[in-house]
Amino acid sequence: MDTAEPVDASERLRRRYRRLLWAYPNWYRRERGLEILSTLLEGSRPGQRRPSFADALDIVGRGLRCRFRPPTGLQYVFVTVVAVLFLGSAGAATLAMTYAATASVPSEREAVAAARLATGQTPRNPAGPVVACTYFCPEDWRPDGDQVVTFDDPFEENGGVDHVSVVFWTPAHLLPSTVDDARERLAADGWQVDDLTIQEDGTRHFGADKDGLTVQVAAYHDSGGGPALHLRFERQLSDLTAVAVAGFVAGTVFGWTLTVWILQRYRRHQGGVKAATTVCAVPILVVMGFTDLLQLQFAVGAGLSGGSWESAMFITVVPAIILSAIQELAVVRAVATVILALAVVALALAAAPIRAHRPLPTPEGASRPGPSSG
Amino acid sequence: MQEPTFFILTALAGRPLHGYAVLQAVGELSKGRVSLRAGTLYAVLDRLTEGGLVVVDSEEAVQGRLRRYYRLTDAGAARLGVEVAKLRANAAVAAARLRHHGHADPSPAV
Repeated sequence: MDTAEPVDASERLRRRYRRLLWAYPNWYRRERGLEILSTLLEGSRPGQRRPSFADALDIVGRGLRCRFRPPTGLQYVFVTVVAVLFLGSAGAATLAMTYAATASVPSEREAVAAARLATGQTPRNPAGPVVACTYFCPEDWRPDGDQVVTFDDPFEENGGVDHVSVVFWTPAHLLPSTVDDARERLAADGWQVDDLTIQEDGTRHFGADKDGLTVQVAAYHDSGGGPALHLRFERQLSDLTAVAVAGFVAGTVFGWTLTVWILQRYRRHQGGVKAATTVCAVPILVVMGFTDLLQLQFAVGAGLSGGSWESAMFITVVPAIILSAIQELAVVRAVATVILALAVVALALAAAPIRAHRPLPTPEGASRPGPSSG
Repeated sequence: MQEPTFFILTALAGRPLHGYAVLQAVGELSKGRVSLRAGTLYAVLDRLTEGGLVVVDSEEAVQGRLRRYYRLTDAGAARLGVEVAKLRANAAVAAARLRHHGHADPSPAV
């Protein structure tokens, strides 16, 4: 049984309007909340208990736009675009690289077993070491014998997906038939084999996969080394692109929310705080803009050259290279440290209390009668 | 300039008005064609205030309610004047084309 005092219709309506006004950000409600509420109540019908659907939709829609929309002005739109593109790419790279690092690399035993199946031979050399290479990887085969090497690939070279390389020294005249035989043997074992490609220089290669393990089989005749049959094994991360796109979306949403929050506070700050924030923001925007341009250049270049738009590298390669550069180059690391420090200062400045432009009116305060509203 | 903005500026061209009075005036001036909601009204007022076309004239707080009166600035009046001239010119061009096409001038709204 409800023993609470009955609340009159006007009070119920007021409460419901107040709840709807929560769609607006706090600062806006402090400045405008009471005024909007007053207007809504003045426009209500006698005895009305709940907001109309149209009013509710209007308030919530406008509130969310106010919360998530950058301030009016080209400069604010520019800053938002630059920051959101940067943080979106950073999100894609971070998530994709983290995910790629967890991918299981095929074991050397597994690779050798598949290589033996394809060629009918066992590599003469014992298993090689794990090789970590970033920009310049060592040759993964030598002319003096067979080789089995696990490569710890950097993200920007192979999407961070490590691979095992099995190389057989093979007399040149046997290379074509060895590749053809390997293709037939793998197909007979249930591998999905691609068409054989024969290039102008006589190089033959094809790809095949089975149960997530892929192999690229190629015959080389390198003038500096010698003829060799090369089998490159890796586990496909088929959903790496989806992970990168998810990271891009997450980075974009986070970037948008953060940037709009900063810009809205920046616009309302005055004097020294605003000037200091501007000083901090300019170098940050220059770096972000430079990175965005690189990203766009890569994207346009990849598109024009017919590159794979499915590849996660499309949106992650530039941030990945920058991260590598930060790790390896002291100058880049120093610049990144300064930019990070400026970003922290800019955030602190944006979060600083905002001095009100003028005293906010309160219902209980002294009223200043305005002109007749008619 | 969008129609709600045009009618809000027109409403304020007469005298300073508070939010609810602006809503009523817009409804009357547009003969009920433009029906503004409070959220939309304040979004437009924010934009006009930022653009310097409208300013807060005075405030009134009574019985827990706040009325803030808005006034058209000189810049706002000039902007509205430009829009009126543009609409008038557009209407004249359209009317002339209609006459040329053999249609009578549509009767002016009363």
